[in-house]
Amino acid sequence: MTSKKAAIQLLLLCGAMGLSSCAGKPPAATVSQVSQAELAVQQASKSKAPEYASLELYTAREQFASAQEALHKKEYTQARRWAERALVNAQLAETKAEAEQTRRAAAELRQSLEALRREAEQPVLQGR
Amino acid sequence: MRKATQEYLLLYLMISSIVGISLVGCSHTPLRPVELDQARTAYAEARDNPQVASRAPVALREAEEALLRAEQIWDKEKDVREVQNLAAVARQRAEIARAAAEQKQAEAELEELSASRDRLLLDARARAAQHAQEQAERAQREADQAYQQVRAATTQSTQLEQELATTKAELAAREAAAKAQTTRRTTTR
Repeated sequence: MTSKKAAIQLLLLCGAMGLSSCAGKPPAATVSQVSQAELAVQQASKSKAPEYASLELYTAREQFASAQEALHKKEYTQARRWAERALVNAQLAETKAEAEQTRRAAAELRQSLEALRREAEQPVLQGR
Repeated sequence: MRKATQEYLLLYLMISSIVGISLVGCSHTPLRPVELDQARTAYAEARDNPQVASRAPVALREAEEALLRAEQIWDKEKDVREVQNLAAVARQRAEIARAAAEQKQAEAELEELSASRDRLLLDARARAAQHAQEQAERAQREADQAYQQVRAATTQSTQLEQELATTKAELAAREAAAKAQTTRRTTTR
């Protein structure tokens, strides 16, 4: 009979351990990760990302919203995962937008340079 | 009685192990997530790109670390959902490294272009200055020539005037001489 009792206790212990992994106060690390993701999304929104990397920025925003929702539902593991995804997508949006902005500036300069060169090729004709 | 207890114990152990497995999550060696291989490929592509390796080494290292973490969690815990997430993060980190390299490349190009624009503008200014000087010199030369011509013309006209005066004087003298002769003739008659 004692072994039966022990078995029941073991069963209860297993159940308790399983439940403890998804209950309790929000872990500080998760909260910090969600707010880091929020910061990254805000920063990307202020950059040229809405113009040049709108898909990545949209994804980051959606993932951040999912992280917040999971946090409210006390699904902390899920919240951390969404926050991690949101962070990298926000950073990707910002980096892509910066690259595009620089590329465009270079293309513009190249054009004006070509115009200058064409002008410089016929200075005597213009001079008189 | 003893046999029955053993059977109960066996049953409970079975139930508890099933519950335990389902709570810990998939101990039955699940399939390796495709995301992990996708992340590995994305990282390898970034690493093999010389532009990424040279222009965005920090971002590339971060991508590598993310991939290693995903692989480690997979080897140790076989937690599919966690590994899927980590692999997705690793893949995006590889993308970030590529974008960062492109950004640096465009920046370098921009700098090069603006340097050659400065050079071109400087050249053009120098050429314009030289052109202006040449024009000024030509104008000066032309003015000098004109002055010389005017001077020559003036000298010529003074000469002519003098010649004219001399001729007039001579004429007057001849006329006077001729008159004087006629009067002498008439008086002798």
